[in-house]
Amino acid sequence: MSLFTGYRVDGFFDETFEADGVPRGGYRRLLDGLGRIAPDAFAERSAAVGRAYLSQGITYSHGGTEHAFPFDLLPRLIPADEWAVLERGLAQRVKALDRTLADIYGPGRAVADGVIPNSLVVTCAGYVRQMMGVEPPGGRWIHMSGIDLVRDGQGVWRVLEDNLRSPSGLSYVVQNRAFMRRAFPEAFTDQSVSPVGHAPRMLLSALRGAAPEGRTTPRVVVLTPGPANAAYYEHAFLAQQMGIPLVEGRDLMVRERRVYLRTTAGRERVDVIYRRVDDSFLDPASLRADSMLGVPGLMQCCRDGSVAVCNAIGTGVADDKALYAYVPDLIRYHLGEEPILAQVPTYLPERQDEREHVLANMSDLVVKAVDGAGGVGILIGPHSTPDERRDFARRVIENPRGYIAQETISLSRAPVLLDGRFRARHVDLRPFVLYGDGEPMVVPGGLTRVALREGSLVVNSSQGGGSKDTWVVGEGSGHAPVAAPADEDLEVATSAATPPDPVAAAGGAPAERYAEAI
Amino acid sequence: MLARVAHALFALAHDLERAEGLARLLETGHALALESHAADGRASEAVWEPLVAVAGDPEEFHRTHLRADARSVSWAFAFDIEDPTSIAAALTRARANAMSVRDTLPTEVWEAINGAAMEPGRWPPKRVAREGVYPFCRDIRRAGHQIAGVMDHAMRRDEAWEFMCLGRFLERADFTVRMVAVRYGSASASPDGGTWTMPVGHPVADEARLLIDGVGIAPETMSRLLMLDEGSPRSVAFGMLQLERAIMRLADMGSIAPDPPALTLARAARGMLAEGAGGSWAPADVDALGERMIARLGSIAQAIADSCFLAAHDAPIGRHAQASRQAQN
Repeated sequence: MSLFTGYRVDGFFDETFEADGVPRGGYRRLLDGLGRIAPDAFAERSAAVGRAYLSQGITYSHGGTEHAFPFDLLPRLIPADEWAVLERGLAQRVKALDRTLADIYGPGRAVADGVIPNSLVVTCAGYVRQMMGVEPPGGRWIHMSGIDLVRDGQGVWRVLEDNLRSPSGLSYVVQNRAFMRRAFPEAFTDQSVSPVGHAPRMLLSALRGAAPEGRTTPRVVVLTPGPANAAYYEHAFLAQQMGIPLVEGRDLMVRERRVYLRTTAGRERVDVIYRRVDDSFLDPASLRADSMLGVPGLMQCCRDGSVAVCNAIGTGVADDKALYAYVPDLIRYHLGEEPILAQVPTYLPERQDEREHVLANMSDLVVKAVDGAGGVGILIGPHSTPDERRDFARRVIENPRGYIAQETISLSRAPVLLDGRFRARHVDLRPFVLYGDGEPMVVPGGLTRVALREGSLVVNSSQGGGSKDTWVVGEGSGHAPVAAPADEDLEVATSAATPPDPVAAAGGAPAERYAEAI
Repeated sequence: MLARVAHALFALAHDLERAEGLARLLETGHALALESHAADGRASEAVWEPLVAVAGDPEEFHRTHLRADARSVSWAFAFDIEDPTSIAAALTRARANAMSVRDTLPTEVWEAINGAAMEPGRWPPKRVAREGVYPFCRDIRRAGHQIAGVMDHAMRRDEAWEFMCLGRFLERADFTVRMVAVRYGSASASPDGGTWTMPVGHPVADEARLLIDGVGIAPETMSRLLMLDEGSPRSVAFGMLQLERAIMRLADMGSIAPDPPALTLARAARGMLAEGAGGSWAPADVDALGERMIARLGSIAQAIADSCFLAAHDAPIGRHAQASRQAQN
């Protein structure tokens, strides 16, 4: 029996198959390679990888327990020509967001020119008033970002959300590839796969580029909240791969407006801090007084420019889900270019007419808390119960600024090996953009996240999601092209004009066909 | 090197050494109890009580256990996670420390430590009842060898290595001194010196002894070997030599200030051993020497902490809760 016995496309856009039993171009060789391995042997290899992840501690922590991060051995392929468009679109987006932040905490031209409302900016949970007037070293705000992409029912890539604070997953990109090479070497036969092993060096390069002026050999550190944090494995892995110290707040001190490491031999100056600690916890003297994770005096050093904090404090304002709706306009405003990537039509309940639309169509929409992360604070309308919808309606009415609503997108699916055979599961893609003192650089591919539970729409590791290796391969594979954003989508995203018919926008397909990655 | 990292590496090596030492001790304790005292009912007095004195705090032990026997000692020192002196607790701490310095340790070393820390979990009471404690101790000892081997092959001889040497050899010297102090008196009084198998604890070490003097197990020979032989890796003298070397290397690397107090203390401790070797080796004298060495080893550990780890504060209560709440979107 084949591993693909019973596998059906079921009307979704499938990453691997054009139709039932018909693989897309780039996958043919891959599936040929897979066909040369006995199904039992492949399942055993897959299980062995799971065991290796646990023994090597490639884990995430959830509810105080460590779990191996589930990894599926069948990679996702993205043709190089398709990737080239995504790469340009991602770089464009991050560049615009970086300029947006410089503007928000600087001259405020976009607000003055009416591109974004001031009320939206200053009410963002990620807005840090203390950063007003501060220019980080090199003028760079976003050094590392994870932009979540999904593919809709027509195969069109869309930006789902921007993660600009502490996006995680880069370590899994590198580790997944390393495990692929060991566990499924046959897959690489006759493929031209873009390598990803240099991703930590790309990150280090971006971080070094953020060093304060005059620091020619900057000391860079990774600041972690500590082993209790869910992403601690990643912090340790990246520090090790970059060859820089992994520090906790208590390892740092501020003296004479400079940050130092506490070493066995005394103090050592620090120039760049790649922080994986929330803004408000970074400095108990200036921000959250009860923080036990930060460094007293760090804000002052940021203001003086004696240290670079990456990403800069206050970047959360640009990944606020309400600001997301304005990103296409911000790209046009700051770069004078049309957005390359489409995004998901979004409604802001803060606006009277859009609120009414949201409340009237909750069963068709996805409602998200603007400051939510990790799949928390979200209602997936088509999969919700009346009670859940009533609860969210109440929340939206009480705090319209705190929520957005988006059209449900029919997420693409990909085969995932579960219980000895491949089953179709929804996937998203998190590419990583690194931005130092040059142009933004995108790590080839990124992390494909998988919702492992049948019918589950949640891809987050903390919610039981897994991952796949993502290959940028050298030739076309029959995928749908990356479409330029449909004008109507962008209009919806930024205007209070008549909301479109959600059913028509979704193509009129049944609700259960629609999924949402978080 | 970060003070916190140095401290974690020191503690990590200390705990790994302790786990391996305890496993050896339990292994030989069981062998001895079976072989020599299964019939005469003296196992508690001859084997298990001394073992408690070497490995833990007898008063504390008897607060929770009526008597020292194969079952209570095995439980307390192998599996009782609540007892900080047990193998399970030592390995749990070692793993937590290894995790906090994962970026400093080669992946293979981390993996070996992670694997060792999982071992007690693979021994539920039913399995222990079925297979006994011996195979558990054997697995722990082997895991210890694997960790040492991987460290030897994979780690740079840098500050991390030296701080781990400090933790390892301080614990080893302390453990051996305690064994000698506890065993010498009773073994001297015994017509057969058989109980000296326990301090040596492993056939390889026993074979090494035979290579040195070719004589049978005699209390004085064994205690001198364990205290004074700089060529025996489990001796106090060997441990002190390694300690001194590690402190000097750290000073040379600029990781600690030149002429650190810990070095002065370590040199004085070696002098103390040499002086003891030249004097009377009566049980009371060895006991007194052991007491002085234990105190001196404590002073060395304190001096290292004062000069290197002072900046590594303990995590305040609530810190972990805050750390777990940090969004990693």
